[in-house]
Amino acid sequence: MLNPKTSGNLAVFAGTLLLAILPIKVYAGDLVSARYITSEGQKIVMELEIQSPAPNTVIVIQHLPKGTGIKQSDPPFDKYNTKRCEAKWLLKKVKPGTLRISMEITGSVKSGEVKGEIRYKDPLTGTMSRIHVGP
Amino acid sequence: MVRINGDKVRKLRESLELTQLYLATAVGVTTDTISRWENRKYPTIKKENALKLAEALEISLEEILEDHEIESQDEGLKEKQQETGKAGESRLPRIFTIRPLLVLTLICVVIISGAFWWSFFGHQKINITAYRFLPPHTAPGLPFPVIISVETGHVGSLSLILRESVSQECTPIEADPDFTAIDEKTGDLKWIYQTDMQKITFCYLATTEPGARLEKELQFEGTITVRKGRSTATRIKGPNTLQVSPLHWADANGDKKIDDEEILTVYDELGKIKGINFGIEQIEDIWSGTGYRWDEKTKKFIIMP
Repeated sequence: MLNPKTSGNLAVFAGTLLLAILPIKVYAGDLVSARYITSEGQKIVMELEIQSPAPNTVIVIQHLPKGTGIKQSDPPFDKYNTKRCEAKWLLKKVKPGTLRISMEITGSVKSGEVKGEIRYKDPLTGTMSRIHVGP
Repeated sequence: MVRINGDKVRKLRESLELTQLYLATAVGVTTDTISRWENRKYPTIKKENALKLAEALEISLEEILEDHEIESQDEGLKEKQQETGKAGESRLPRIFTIRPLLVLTLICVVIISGAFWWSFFGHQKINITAYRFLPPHTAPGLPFPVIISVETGHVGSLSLILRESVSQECTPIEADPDFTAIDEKTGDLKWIYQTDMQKITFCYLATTEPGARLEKELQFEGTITVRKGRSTATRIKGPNTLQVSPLHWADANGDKKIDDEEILTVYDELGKIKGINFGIEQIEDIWSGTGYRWDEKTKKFIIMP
């Protein structure tokens, strides 16, 4: 039997060894996350949470069911592809915090029919990130 | 032409911890020329070069011009020495007349040791890096941006000279920070810049000739020289070739569209540059549309809605 002091030292040693040999994966969350506040009926509201360091520019894409259009949006969308029923926002000079995009659509949508996507480049690494947003 | 005080130039340069290479780069001459100017008492040089020299030494031109009073005193001294003639020579210490070779050897040893000490310990080494972001292509006659990102890795104030040699088919339009000089003969761009930042971004806008031949490759090369430390010129890394083609510079993959990744790159790289119009409205219009095509007659892009 090992005395408590020896077993304590062994545990510390084993722990240190384990930390040294195991690759430690530090999870860094997405710099931008998004969710729908409302995704049914005629009004859709998406909320974006921007972390620091904020990407300089963010593209928000809203996919809508076929035959649906956007009556108006705040902020106004920058691009609308009628074939794909897809609206895009180019958000510039983005700062950490919360951003909301609200849109009024022609017709009505059921929950689960809308989906979105966020695209941005990591300001530190320059890698492109694509985040899918579901209701 | 003006006569400058070589001694004063050397003393000023040494007091500012400048190297001959730094001055040579700032003035646009060789280090041999700087050495020659410093070693002659009152060398006669071009006024244009004297102005650049004074600027690099952070003083006015008048301060390095020949000092008449000193010269006249010196000339008086020379005359006196001529009068005393041989008597003056006889007053030299005996060692100078008996063992001149020994004295010369000792002086050489001291100078060489000093040079070695200076080269190994006298300077703090600064690892400066510079990277050029250059679009892969540009259309004839249309402007394109070039970004040079510099990392000094140095805490504290630093003076640097950035020199960029652009292809002769290119004309620089504007820059941020503004160019310090553009060489009239070679078209080389030069910035003399003082900073306490560890990262500095230099950006300039240039254009190709409207009649530039398609598929022609244009070359870019540059160096960065730091005033402190061992003053070797560091080459700017990154792309150095740009092709003239019927494509927008922001359309990196050449598919005649500006996609999301390309517009994000434009905003990320150029969004922080102020005061330079690099055609962001047209880039957004192309991104909003379905693509573009090059119209050879009007030398413009036609955007497809």
